Amino acid sequence: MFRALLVLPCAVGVFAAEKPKESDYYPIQNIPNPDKFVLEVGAIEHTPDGTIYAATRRGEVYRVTGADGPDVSTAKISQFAKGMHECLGAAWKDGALYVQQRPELTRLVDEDGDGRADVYDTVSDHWGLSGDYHEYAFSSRPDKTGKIWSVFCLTGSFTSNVLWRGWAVTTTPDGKTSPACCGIRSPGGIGFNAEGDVFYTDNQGPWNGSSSLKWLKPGSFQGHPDGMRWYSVAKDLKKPIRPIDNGRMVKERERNPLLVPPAVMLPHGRVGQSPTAIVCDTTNGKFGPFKNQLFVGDQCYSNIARVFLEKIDGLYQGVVFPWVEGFGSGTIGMDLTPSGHMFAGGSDRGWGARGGKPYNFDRLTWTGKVPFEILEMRTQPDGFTLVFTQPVDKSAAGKTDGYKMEAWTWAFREEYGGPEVDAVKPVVKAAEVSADGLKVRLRIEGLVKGHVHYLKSTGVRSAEGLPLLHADAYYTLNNIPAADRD
Amino acid sequence: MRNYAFLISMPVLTLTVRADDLQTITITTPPGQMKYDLPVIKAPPGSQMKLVFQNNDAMPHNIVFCLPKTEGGNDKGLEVAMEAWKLAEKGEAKAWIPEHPRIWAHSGLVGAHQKQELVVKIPDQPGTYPYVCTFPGHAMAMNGELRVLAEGPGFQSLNFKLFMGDWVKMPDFSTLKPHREGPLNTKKLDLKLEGMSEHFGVQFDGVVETQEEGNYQFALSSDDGSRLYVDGRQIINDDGIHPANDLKLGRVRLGKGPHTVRVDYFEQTGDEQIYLAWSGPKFSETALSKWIHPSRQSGGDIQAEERRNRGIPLAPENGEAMIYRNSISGCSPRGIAVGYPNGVNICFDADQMSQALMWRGAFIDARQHWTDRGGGDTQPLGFNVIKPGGEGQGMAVLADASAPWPKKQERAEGIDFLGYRIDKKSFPTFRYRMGDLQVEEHYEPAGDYKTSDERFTRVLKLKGSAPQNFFIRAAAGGMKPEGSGWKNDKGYAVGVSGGEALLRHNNELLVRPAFANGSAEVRIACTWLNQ
Repeated sequence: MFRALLVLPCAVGVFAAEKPKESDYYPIQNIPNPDKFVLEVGAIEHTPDGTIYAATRRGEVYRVTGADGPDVSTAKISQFAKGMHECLGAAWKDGALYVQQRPELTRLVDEDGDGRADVYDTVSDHWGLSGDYHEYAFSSRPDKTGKIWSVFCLTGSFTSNVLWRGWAVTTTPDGKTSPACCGIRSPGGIGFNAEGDVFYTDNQGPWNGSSSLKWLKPGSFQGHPDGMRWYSVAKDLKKPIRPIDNGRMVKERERNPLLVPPAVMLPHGRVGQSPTAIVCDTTNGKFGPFKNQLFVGDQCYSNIARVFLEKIDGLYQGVVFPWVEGFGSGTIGMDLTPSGHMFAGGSDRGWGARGGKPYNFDRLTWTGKVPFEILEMRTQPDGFTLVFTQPVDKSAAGKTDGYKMEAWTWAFREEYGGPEVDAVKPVVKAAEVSADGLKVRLRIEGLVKGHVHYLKSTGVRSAEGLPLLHADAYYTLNNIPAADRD
Repeated sequence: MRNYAFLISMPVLTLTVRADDLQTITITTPPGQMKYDLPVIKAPPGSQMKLVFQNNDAMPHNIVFCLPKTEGGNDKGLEVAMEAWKLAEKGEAKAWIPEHPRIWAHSGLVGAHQKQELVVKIPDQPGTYPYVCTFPGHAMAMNGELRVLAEGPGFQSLNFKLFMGDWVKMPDFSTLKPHREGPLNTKKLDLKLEGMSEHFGVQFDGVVETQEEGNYQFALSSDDGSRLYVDGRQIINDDGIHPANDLKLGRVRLGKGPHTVRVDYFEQTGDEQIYLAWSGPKFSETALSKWIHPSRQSGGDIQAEERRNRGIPLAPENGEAMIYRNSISGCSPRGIAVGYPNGVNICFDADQMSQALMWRGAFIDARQHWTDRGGGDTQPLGFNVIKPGGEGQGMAVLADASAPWPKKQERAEGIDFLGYRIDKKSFPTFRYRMGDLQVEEHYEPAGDYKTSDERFTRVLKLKGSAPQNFFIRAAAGGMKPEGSGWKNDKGYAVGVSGGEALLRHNNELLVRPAFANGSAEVRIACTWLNQ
């Protein structure tokens, strides 16, 4: 198997003794579980008072107090609810926990205050269920307008046998469910960026050459045509054109204006293999330098990747970096609290995960040390601007041979997955370091619109001589801007 | 005849120390079934084993490990259990553990929904050791055997052929020229052949010898792809690019004597690993590779093997009901099963708003849904399973009292499920709505499985108004008048109050609720007949 993180070849000799590790900055801490609850975490949510709720694939919800403070070892965990059907979404709103079960969105309330839910109100169950095991349902927190978004996996992950399979829907607080986007295949999680726009992760398969992070622009089509039969019910939505098999996304979207290309491809087998939850760092620095960036879990690789997004000519695009690996099981549920603690948990059930344990429930806390990372990779008409977390060694960062770039895409096709195709090698012609050493402008020949551009910055050193903690970056270039940007 | 005399002097172990690093085996008692969930456990000789004995039944049980019967044969520990019976009134105080030379380890008497942990030293002598519950009357059904199995043989000979190439699927090695070949002196599969870590393949050819004819199991795991052939026949195919996460198992019947074992393996990039092991009638899983799979690194194969074979029985605990939502056979995928502490179980269909199922005894085994991908319907775990609701919705407005019941639709027409509330005993009250009519439905269990008179009443409280021909379907068919109520030859009887009962030509039983001041309360009493 290909590892997500390659050892930095240049760094080994010189910095072997002090080579920084991910855990120097974001150590993984286990949530104490003395009662040995089976924590197959599917979703995590926090309340304003710092209580953490973890909902599980076994249909249980656990309530954790004391986990959002400085010492996670004092956390206490107890069972809050049980007897539900596979919980893969959790949202706290007005004193109630909204949990996405496979058949319904449920409002849980502990009315008598004994620490266990006694109200299991059905907010909405207006979608189809055939009984197929793959009909997963993930849900978001409330969006800007108070609606909860749910994404429904295709039956067997291939076909839309019952209502809203392969769709994203929204549910208002009073239980009105409406279709929002078609074209989903097999989602793994759903969340928002800092602006409050909705994103979900979809998994490699038919019409998905690789897994990706996708923007659920209301009314959009996400590419998998099997759910299109339900436009007969979604009468208010404009129907897309059925995509042509074995084309390219960059061409198809010109022909099919409702089709929104993935914002960020998560190259299969490179950054992960089964993307899941999405959380945004809106902690204003409490969680480190990655303000307003997204973090995306991966079940198979038991890791979390980091995503920087930008919007060019009306479409989201951006870059994914490997970030933290080594969780005990396959990441499925995640949450980032306002006090700056990231919670992540999951299970390996059914698909296997690198972590090796059947389930995990962990916390990531920033140690306060800033890792040397590419903070942002911004598109430019003739290349990219790299923004670093710390000033670079100007001499090293100014050398073009310190960077290597490859670019490719995947066929947009009905067949399952697919190899990287149309590979090219764009050439870094210039690397201009800013006066403060925090930015490098890469001028590149051979950018390809629509391709993933893989940048490996092995030559870059910080002013203190450290290599990048992660030298790999994968930028999805949906659009190339016409003019220079900041 | 084996000599077990050395064991008899061994002290009886009933330690309760915590020792988390020991190999742990959990034996549970599924509710209402009078059995251990594990009929067979395996352990290597002389090892220490932590045994967690979890009693999920409503009755007390113990577990007593016995030496084989001196005369030979497997008496399943009955001799020891009979001795316990003689303790009579003294039995309770002694946890029904008699003085008997065959006992070498035992638990105490573990009460309903209690557990006990003990550390057991496994005998040094390979053999079959019965375990049994010595609570009077239990032993005939409640027993199992501990198989103490030694490690098996390794390869007698092993050769390798090393190939170089970049593959994403297993190549046909017979068409390729090996880069290097030769014997492997360690006689264990090993990938550190020439320090290569990427873009290579290996074909291993070895010979194992069996001491007897029987069923043998091979376990294979690799990163990336591999295939196993025994005597030229493919037993396991684990081709493709993947990590060494899952173990693939293959069973084969082998005669006594030597057998060829071939493993084809390739590595593209990244990590490379291979694990191969076999187990047989007289020996536990024995590694045939240098690398040991993480799931096999402590305590051999037992835990993983037993985990696969063991159920996850759910049972009402602490006098509370247990709720389970998933795909349950005989109900829509929106079934909500409830197990009540007295042994009554029902399944409410939240698609059709009908009472899909009722059954007695054990509640639900969650293994189907809580292991692997969890596909398929699960069957109720107990017995006397009845489907009172039949096909289609549980209530309807008919054109007239003789109009046919509406055909089943994917979702019940015009009825919205609103969820449920649970009380202090976790008993749910289901809520749904049909137009202006609000319905609250709950179940009142009565009697007890211990006295075989468990039964229940389905109670529907209606608020609002209903048209003249609004009906609740109490039973979907097969009903005949019996005394003041009705019975069904499938084995249950129904009594109705709070409305007008209407037995229709197709023997379905409808109820027209009797509304007063905008509300009605229909009570449908259900009893199993063969009690």
